[in-house]
Amino acid sequence: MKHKKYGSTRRSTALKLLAGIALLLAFVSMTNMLGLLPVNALRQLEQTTGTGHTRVVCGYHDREAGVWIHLGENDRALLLSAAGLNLYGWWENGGCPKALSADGATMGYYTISSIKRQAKVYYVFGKVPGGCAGVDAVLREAGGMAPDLAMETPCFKTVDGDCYFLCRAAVAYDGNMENYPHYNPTVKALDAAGKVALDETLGDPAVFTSTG
Amino acid sequence: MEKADFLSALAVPMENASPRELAGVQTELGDHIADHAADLEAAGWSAADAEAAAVAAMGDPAEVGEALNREFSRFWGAVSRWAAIALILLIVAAFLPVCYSCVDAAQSLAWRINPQKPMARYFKGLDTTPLDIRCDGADGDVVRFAMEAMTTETLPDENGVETEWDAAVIGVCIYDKNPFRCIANYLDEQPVFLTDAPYTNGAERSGGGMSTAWTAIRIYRVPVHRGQKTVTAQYDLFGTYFTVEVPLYWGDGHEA
Repeated sequence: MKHKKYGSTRRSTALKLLAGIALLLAFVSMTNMLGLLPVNALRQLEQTTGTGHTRVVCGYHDREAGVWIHLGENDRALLLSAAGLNLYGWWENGGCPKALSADGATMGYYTISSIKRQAKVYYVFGKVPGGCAGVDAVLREAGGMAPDLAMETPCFKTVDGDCYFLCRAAVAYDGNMENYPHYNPTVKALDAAGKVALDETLGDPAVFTSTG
Repeated sequence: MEKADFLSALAVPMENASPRELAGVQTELGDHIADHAADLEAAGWSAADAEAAAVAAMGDPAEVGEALNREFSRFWGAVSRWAAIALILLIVAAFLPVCYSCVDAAQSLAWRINPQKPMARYFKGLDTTPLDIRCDGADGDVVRFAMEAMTTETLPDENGVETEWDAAVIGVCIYDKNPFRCIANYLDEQPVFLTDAPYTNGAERSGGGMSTAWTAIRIYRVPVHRGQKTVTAQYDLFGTYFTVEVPLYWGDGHEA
């Protein structure tokens, strides 16, 4: 008896639907209309800052700040993005682009203040061309009254011979600036030969501070 | 066995098929039996005998039903159902962002076609000159100098003396070549105009503007020297650099 292949119809229906989902996902992801993944925030920020496409060096979920942090790089800039979850998915919650220095190491600084989470999180990121033996970052209280706070290093990577780092530290913050000591991140990095490649205190507060 | 009995018996083992699928199978096999019976009738058989023979030719309904049932995979049925639900949810979730994107893209297209129109509100009362100087900005952006007007304002200088100051009001439209992409608007400082004319007390370099993520109109009030022929605009953003001389059309006898 010749009959229609009902099973293949069921399978082809499923495959057509799956193909439709894949196409729609690809479309909304490539156009950044929906933030399907935290890294979409980095893609959004690439466009709005003008850095152009970056390669993700590291991604890190910061529970204290409630965001995903991504560090991207290309031959022109470093880009740190913070991704928060909202109605449209993972959306950029601020970030910091930093043009690469032509003659050496590059670093940038970004903070997220969250009254809800009672925390202010400092991020310092950078690139040391030619490799790096280590990075030591601390938060230094501007008035010199409080001891230095050590920053942890969730990302320390060597890619194509260049070293990339991301350091962070969280301090208690209730939104009241009067009670809040002003911290300046200080970073010291040694190059592959053990010489100081970077020794800098970032005195200015981050321009692109976001409040989560 | 009659056709209706055959089709009922066929349905018993077909537990994997949905009611709709079962109805489809029954309709198709029913049509097949009817066609066969019609052929037999045309050959001289009686209607009752023709239908009975056509039904008998189909075989045992239980066996046929079991064979057909195996064709209806539960796995692909479940995949189908969940995929349909996922697709509907995705369409619902993407609907608003897609609408917003289309609206913004339409605005980006409208502004690039006629950038002078949205700029006009910032040039009220001024004698404007349309410009069309296009430069490539960062990451696919286009920086288009689209409109200018020269103005003279009487404002106090640093000593409080009322003085006439000349300024060029220049409208710049920024958009991405791809109307669905954002422009580099995060830093909000490009391009800049280079001038050695002194700042006035009150006449600001920035004369306002408006922007969305997809496009921006920026109005610059650039202090210039009377009779100056051009003013230099500079763009420098993450390795994309250009300078362009924007001509100044005085139009009131102040040409150098």
